[in-house]
Amino acid sequence: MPPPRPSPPRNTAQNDPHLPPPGKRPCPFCLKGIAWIDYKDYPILKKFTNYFSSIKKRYYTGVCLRHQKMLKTAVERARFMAIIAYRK
Amino acid sequence: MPVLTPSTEEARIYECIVLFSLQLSEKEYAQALASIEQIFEEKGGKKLAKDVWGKQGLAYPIKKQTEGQYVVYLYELSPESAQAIDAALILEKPVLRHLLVKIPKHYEFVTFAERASAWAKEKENEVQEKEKEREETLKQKMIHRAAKAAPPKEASKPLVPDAGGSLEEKLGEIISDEDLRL
Repeated sequence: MPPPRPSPPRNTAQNDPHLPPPGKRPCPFCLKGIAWIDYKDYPILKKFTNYFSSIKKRYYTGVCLRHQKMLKTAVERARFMAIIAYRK
Repeated sequence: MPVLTPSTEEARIYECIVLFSLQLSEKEYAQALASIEQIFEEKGGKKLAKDVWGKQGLAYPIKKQTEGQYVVYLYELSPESAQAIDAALILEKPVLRHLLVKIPKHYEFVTFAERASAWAKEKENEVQEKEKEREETLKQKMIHRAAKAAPPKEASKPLVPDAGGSLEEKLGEIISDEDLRL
């Protein structure tokens, strides 16, 4: 019987070889010294939402709790203003 | 733009984003803009900035419309009037959506044009970085392949073939030279 084949990585972004392992990533907002997250800034919101436009987990993105809360309000406002979708 | 601070203690600075329907004619659109600015003025608002985004696609249809035009205002208002304005904006017919929020600390007003140019620059930089990375990986691959394809090295040979004592003679000559200063 042949040995079982290794399962392929589920998400390439989550298993990026250049990044530190998930759970040990630095906060990208803290690194840039961002004081507030704008709900009108589409590219930033898109970066931190997945295909179904739900907010990515802190474990994978490395965002600190303070910035994750800011991100949440920004995403909610952007969704209301139809800048990003509620659900794809 | 400098850091925004309200002129009086009671006043706050609010950011209002309004989404207009795209089915309006130019005249109706101008009227709608005027009526909204009038609402703010009636409540004693002080206009600080205005930014028109223009025609934009919506992430999901609102009232069967897939496109709209956004306008961002920055007003100095009292909290009570802000509440009243929020209620008054709901009644405006050409307005699909509106959002009136207090600005956060360290807020900076950035126009849509400035933001768009910054996005374009970021994209360009990303593309350039990706190309660089690709070239580097290609180079490393080529080097790796060349090293694999090359035949295994033979046993190291002496660089200078031994010429049967002629070298020693020459060396002796050089060392014994009187002009030589070591």
